[in-house]
Amino acid sequence: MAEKNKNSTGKKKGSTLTDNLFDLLNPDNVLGNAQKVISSAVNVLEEEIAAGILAAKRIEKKVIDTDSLKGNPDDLMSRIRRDTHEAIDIFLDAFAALSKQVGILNSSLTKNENAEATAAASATSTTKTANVFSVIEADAPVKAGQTVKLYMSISDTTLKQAVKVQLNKHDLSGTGSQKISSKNILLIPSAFNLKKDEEKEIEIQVKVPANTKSGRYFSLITDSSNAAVKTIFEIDVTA
Amino acid sequence: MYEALMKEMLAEYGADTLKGIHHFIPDKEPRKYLYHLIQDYPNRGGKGFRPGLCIAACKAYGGTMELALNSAVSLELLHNAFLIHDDVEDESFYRRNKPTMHEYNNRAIAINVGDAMNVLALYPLFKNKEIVGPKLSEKIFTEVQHMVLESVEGQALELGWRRDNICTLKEADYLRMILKKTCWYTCMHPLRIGALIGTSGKIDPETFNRLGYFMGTAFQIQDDILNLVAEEKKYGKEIGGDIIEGKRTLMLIHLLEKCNKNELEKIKQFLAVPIKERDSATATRILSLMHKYQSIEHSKKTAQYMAGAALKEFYSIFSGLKESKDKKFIESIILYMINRDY
Repeated sequence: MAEKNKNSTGKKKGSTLTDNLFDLLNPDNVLGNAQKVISSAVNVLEEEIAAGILAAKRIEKKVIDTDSLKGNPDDLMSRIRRDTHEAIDIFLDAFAALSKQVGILNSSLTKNENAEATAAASATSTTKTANVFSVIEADAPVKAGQTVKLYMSISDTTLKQAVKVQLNKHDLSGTGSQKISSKNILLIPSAFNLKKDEEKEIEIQVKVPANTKSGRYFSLITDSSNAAVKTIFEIDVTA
Repeated sequence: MYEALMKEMLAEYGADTLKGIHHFIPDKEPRKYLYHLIQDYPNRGGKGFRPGLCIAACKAYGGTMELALNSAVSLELLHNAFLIHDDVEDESFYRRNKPTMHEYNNRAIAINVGDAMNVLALYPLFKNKEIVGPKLSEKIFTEVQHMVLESVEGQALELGWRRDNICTLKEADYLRMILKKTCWYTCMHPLRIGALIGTSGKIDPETFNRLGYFMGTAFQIQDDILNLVAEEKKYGKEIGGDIIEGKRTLMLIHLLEKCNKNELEKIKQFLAVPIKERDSATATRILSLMHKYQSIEHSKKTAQYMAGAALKEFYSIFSGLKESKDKKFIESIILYMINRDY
């Protein structure tokens, strides 16, 4: 009932000039007006943030389309098989090319990798095989005598509990017989526990010795706790 | 005292950002039709509000200028790109005391320059990964992506209202529109990005939403008031230009709510014709009506309330941080808004 005696601005109907002046001079009224304005503004903000979150969720759903994947298990399996074969092909191509150029990745390692890839294909453990093998390149050439930083991140969506990760570094090999010793590589952090749903960022620092010859250099990072984790990184050294 | 500090630091951070902008503009052809034009708006010397807030928030949280500079450069490039496109969309004549880009070139060239600036703003964000690492760079990229999307949504609302000559808007509609069009990119995201960088990604950026929103609202309302009451040379745009453009300011929305039927009809008719056919005599009459119905006074008060609320938010967020020039700088911007006498 009280609301009926007020207009949209909250003022009483039929109020006189004296009433309005009194309202203006009344600090409680000023405070009330400020409060009304702020509270209306905050409502708008909260509504907009909520709308933004909902819209973002809908977009995520559309991109991944998890519902349709779940709804058609045959389609899902064929996609997994196809993706697995593609991942293995890419892996094998990259590996063969590297073996040719670098000449340091010995044949036993190749066999080992092929065996792992084939096993992965037959077991359709796609995410693991596709995710653990990666190639990182420095964005710009580095001069001999300087330090270059590269970054990689490690995560495992299949984890049920935390696992220990112990990263190992290997010498960088250039075209021909040039090498940069692994002593010049720093992994930060090199050992850690990887939790479920966690993504760990690793910084790879390479201090290129001043006497290093120009050319491309490759190396491998492995995890002694998990043979499947292998990352190749490459840098371009200039004189 | 606070005004001097604010101006000094805006100038300092603005100059650093301008150097950064020049660094990211390719030194090659076509200079005459593109790259020299890209330098034009930033060189005209804007307030540098966005990079200033970003750098100050970063430093207040323990970061450095070097860590925040790329993000600040990107924000300022995007801001200037928006200005060029806004001027085309609003058919404005002046920007920072000079003819707008489409006025002294043409619309097509101006739109292309704006497009190029939007693209150039991406590179400092890409290079961020070398400075702040890939994880934080990704977060900053997401912040910028959200900022741009909100801004174009806000602009879409306003342009749509003007096209359809909507005259039934309420204050809440206005607040929603400037939240989207101005607040996210003028204050909320610059503060959020700066604080994220200063804390190496550890702070929850949502902390700054209300502060940035209140600051941005006060900033926009005061900017719109200046368009009506400031000296043209001091303000740098045509005075009363917003009335001619039919911009849905808080003053216009208040007036449309308060005026009588006869006056409402005349204002509607004025806003219904194309911008170039709107006469300045009617615009002056509308300005008089804004005075008559205290629309400008009402807007000044609203801006002051918002700035007051911003100050309260500022103290609750920043009081735990150690005293610094940058913390004082952010406070000084809010105090300036509260005490502004136009």
